[in-house]
Parts: sequence; C-alpha cells; structure tokens
Amino acid sequence: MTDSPRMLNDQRLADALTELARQTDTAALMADVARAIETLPQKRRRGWLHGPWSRTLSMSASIALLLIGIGLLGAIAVGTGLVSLPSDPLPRPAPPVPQPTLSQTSPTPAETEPANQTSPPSPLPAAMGELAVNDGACGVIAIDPRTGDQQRVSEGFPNCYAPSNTTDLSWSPDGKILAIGFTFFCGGCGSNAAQAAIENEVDGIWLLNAATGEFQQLEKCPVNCNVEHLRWSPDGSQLAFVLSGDVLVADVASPESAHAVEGVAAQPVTDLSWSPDGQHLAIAAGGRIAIAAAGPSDAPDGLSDSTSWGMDQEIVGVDWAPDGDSLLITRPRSVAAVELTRQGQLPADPVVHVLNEVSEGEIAFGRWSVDGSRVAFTRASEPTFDDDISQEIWQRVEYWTMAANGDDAQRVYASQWDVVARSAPAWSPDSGSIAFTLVRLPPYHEAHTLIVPLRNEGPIIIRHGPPSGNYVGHPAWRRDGTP
Amino acid sequence: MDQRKVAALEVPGLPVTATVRERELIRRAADGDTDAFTDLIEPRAHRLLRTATAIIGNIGEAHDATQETLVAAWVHLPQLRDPDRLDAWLNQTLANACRQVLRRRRPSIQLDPVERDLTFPDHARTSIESAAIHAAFARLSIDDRQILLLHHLHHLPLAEVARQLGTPIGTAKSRLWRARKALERALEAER
Repeated sequence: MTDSPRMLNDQRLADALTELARQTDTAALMADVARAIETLPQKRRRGWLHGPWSRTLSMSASIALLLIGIGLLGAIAVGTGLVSLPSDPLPRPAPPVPQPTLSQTSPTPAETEPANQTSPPSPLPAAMGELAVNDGACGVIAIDPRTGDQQRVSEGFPNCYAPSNTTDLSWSPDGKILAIGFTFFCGGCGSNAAQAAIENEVDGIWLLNAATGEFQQLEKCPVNCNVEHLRWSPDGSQLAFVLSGDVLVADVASPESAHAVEGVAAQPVTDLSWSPDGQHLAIAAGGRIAIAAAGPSDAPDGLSDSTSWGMDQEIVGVDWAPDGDSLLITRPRSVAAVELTRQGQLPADPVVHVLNEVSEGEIAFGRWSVDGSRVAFTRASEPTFDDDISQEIWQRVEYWTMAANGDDAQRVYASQWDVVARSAPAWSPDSGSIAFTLVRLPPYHEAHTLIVPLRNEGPIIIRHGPPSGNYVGHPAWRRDGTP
Repeated sequence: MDQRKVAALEVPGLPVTATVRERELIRRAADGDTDAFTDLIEPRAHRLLRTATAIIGNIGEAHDATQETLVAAWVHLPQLRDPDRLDAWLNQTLANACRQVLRRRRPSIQLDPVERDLTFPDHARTSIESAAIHAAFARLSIDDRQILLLHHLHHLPLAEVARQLGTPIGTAKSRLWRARKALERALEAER
C-alpha cells in the first residue's frame, strides 16, 4: 500500500516539524539564562517556605488573626447595615459585535445573546449567599445569585500585576475569608509594574477578608510558580493547595507551618479533596489516586502515610463524598464512585461504580452536591477546527447532573457557542443550583458565569469579561449562606 | 563546570549512570552551584528551545519562554524531591510558558507589542504540504503540540515521552493518538 499525497505519514510530519523548529540558538539561550540567574534577588534558598519570608509570614499570621477578629466584627457590621463592602457597581458591557471574520459555522448574533436578556433572572431561595468570581485582572466580583447583580468587591491586593492568572478562588467554610491563588508570568519582566510585582513577591495565595476588604498573603512563591486547587479543610483552619506540582497544607493561623503532603510521586497532581473529618487528603495524579494523612508526618523521611490505587486511564478529578464513604473520580470518558474502607482508606482492589460514561467527548470536574444527593460534571465535545481565529482548541460544553447512584442524568446546560475554557460546576449551599464560568472565543473573548437552578428554571448568565487570557476561574459559593 | 566533583562519582571502567550523575547535579544545583545547574540543563536546553520555537512560531518569544522556564527551574530546584520528575516539570513549565506567550498576543490583553521580526515559517523553503501541516499544527492545543513534538520531532520512544510528561505510558499513548487525530482533522480543514 502506498501513501496518498493527502495522508499524514510520520516522515512528512517530522519534516514539517523540523522546519518549524529550525534556527534556534542554544548558546545565546544559555548565556541569557546565566545572566538572568545572576540578577535574581537572593531569594532562592532551600526550603523557601522556611526561607527569608518566614519572619514575614510569622508576622503575617499575627496580622491575619487580628484581621480575622476584625473581620468578625466587620461581618456583624455589614450584616446590620452599619458598614458596606468596598465596591463599585460593575456595568454590564454592551453585547459584542460579531466580526466579519467569523466563519459560517459560528454562532449567529441571536444565538449569542446572554440568556438573562431574554429570560428574567430566576428567583432563588433567600439567603443563599454570594458567588465570587475573578474579574479577569486582580479584582474579585461578587454575584447575588438571586438577581444576577454583580459588584466588584475588590480591586485586588497591593502591587497586583494584571493581566494576571488568578488560578483559583475558594471561600472558607464560614464564608468569612476568600482564598485567592495568584501567579503571573512575565516574559521579559521589563515593565515597572512587573518589576514591582516581582520585588513585592505577590505570587502565592492571598486571603481576602470579606468584611473588611483587606488582603493578607498566606503563602509566597517565586515568579512563575503555579498555585492551584485551593481546598479549605472542613473546619476552616487549614488550606491545602498544589504548588508547582507539590501538595502543601498551610495552617491559616501559622503559615510558616506549611508542610508537604506526599501523594503520588512523579505525576502531575490534577485534583485533591479533603476527607469530611479533615484528617486526610485524596490526591489525583496521572492514573492514580492516593489518600494521604493531611497532618505533618512523624515518619523519619517526613513523608505522609498513604494508600494508593491506580487504573489504566488518567484520573482528572477526585471529590470525597460528603458521607466519607466513597470518592468520586472523573476520567475523560466516565464518572465513577470508588468505595473506601471503614477507615477511609483505599482497599487494594476497590469496588468501582461507574455512574456515567460516554463514547465521545471529554468528561471533567465531577463534583458531589453539598448534601451528597447528586453529582455534577461537564462534558466537552470533540474539538472542532473550522475557524482560524483562534489557536486554541474550542468546544461546545455541556453541564450534567445526576443522582448519586447514576440515575436521573440531566443535561442542565449546553453552550450555544464555542468556549476555550470552562470551570468546574460549583454547587450552591442548598444543592439546588450549580454555577460555572465559561470563556468565549475571540473576538468576543469574555467570561460568562452562569447560575443554573435544577428546578426547571432558566439560567442566570452574568457576563464579566474579558478574562485574563483563556484562564477561567472557578466560581466560589459562600457556604454559610450569609452575604 | 567543576569536573572534580562529578568525576568523584565515577569508578574507572564502569559507566556512570545518568541517574547517579543527575542526582548529584541536582543536589549541587539545589545548593546553589551554578556550574552544576548549567551541566544539568545544557543537554536539555536545545530540545526545550526547539519545542518552544515550534509551538510558538516565533524565535524571540520562544527564546523568552524557554529562558523563563529554565530560570524557574533554578528558582524551584530546591523544592524538587524526586529527581525523576525534573524533565516532567520542565516540560510542564515550558508548556505553561508557551501558553502565556500566546495569550499575550491577544489584542485585548496584550501588554507590550512584540517588536521582534517573525523569522519563520520560511516559506521560501517550505513546501505546500509542510505549510498546511504548520497551519494545522498551530490550531492544536499546546499540550497536543508538545506531545507531537516529543515523539515526531525529537523522535523519543513512547516510554520516554511518558517520562518527559510525567504520565503513565498508557496515558501518553492515548494522548499522542488524540493529538495525531486532532492534527489530521485540522489538516483536513486546511486543505
């Protein structure tokens, strides 16, 4: 059999890629790297968590305690109307104008109108709380889920460098503190703003006191670090997160005590989840799940005790069931529940209940509802390529919910336009709604946060673009339900 | 480079495994030895730079992205507990760096105009077939581009691709297959 001229064989592909990668100058690169290292501030030391910032962090812990105390008073004041949060009304932008470069298969203007312009906001149960989303730069937008009204409640922490990557948002269980993961990437790092951000070491995790609008930095990390998957412990005393591939747990009251949790070595961590009792963390990495003790290890090597179990397919998500008996795991083609032992550990050969699976598309972000009665997940279509306005894969996205046993699967939302990024579904405190954020293709290039009630009511769509790049922050509900 | 320290690991007549040598280099580099760091990254720099160049399509920006990756490696090296993860971490960081470069090109968020000249693709030396592949390749996700480059440009076997990405071989295989399919579909759209 001979190759058709239209077939893509290995040799043609290798030749074409070689053409793309020619003309590189490794010697110049090495020289530039050496110069860059020479000019770095002297902050690169072993164990940077305990490095020159430790004193600052120790002091920060005291300040954090003070702020939390002030925050409690402030929250009371806000609740009684004595004070108001620092906020500016955020006007909704005008509908985008489709560009003539759109292909024929692109959505028509009628299809692209936000749903809240065609259907009124649906009434939601009172006192449900607020949603927080990133504003595409450094700020935080609070959304009233009952009306869809949005307010920018913070412009961001000092020396924030935007456009930025706010990598995650997470409310503390008591709804008083919003944890914000932040990193930025500066190619040349040449601007004054970028330099100020570097010198002030803004990368890391910030805590926003909802009552006062004050920021406190919980963790610092070097430029280009990658901080994500912020997860509060059930009692709100600790914050677990992934920092450049490592799982760390920080005591909110004493940040210098942050310690690493050994999960699945040599694999990028894709998700993590606390056990309901706050004693363990479930960690998804590659094709394995590990359950590790969340506290500092007494073992001589400092590694946490852990059990793990793996499978052939990549595991992209893990969520501990509210009753503690099982883990919800998400793989590209399926959502499944994995039974745990009575001690909350992974048995050697666990029982796996496949709740739903697909033959096409890609599943992600399986999440238990707060009451454990249902599961939500996303499904993205196979990527399409008939539009040359973006270099990103773009897809149609669906959000589904189903009962905890896999029955009653319902598609609660299907995008009518292509998205380049999507967030996990965030369950409301009453388990009656999910919220999520989608980033729309250029030239629209804006972020939409949608609140979808599950009781046959129309979704509320809040447009708050532009996003920072194609990043999509995960919306965060305040679980105590007290705005 | 300080040859003396590395040579001390060598036993005459016996080859020094890369792992032993690299573990020592990583340990020394993590302790602040810039020579060891240079020895550690120099063999990797060419491949990383070529990968970035093919992903980004601009030599200057690829240079910056690779430089950022390697500087980040220097900064983070003390945190690296498993030396076998070095390449996986470098590749992940490089992919993020490339992603950021491409994000910054969008008019709505562009920080500074890119003043460097575009130096390729070199159409004078590029066949029509290659040009179509280049265009199709540019439609892929960064992750798809990266895995295709590891296998089809750098000619790494599947097991090494998996190690470079820090994934099981089965995962690397399925990702490579999906990337290849995505490229073929993109190529059809180009024709």
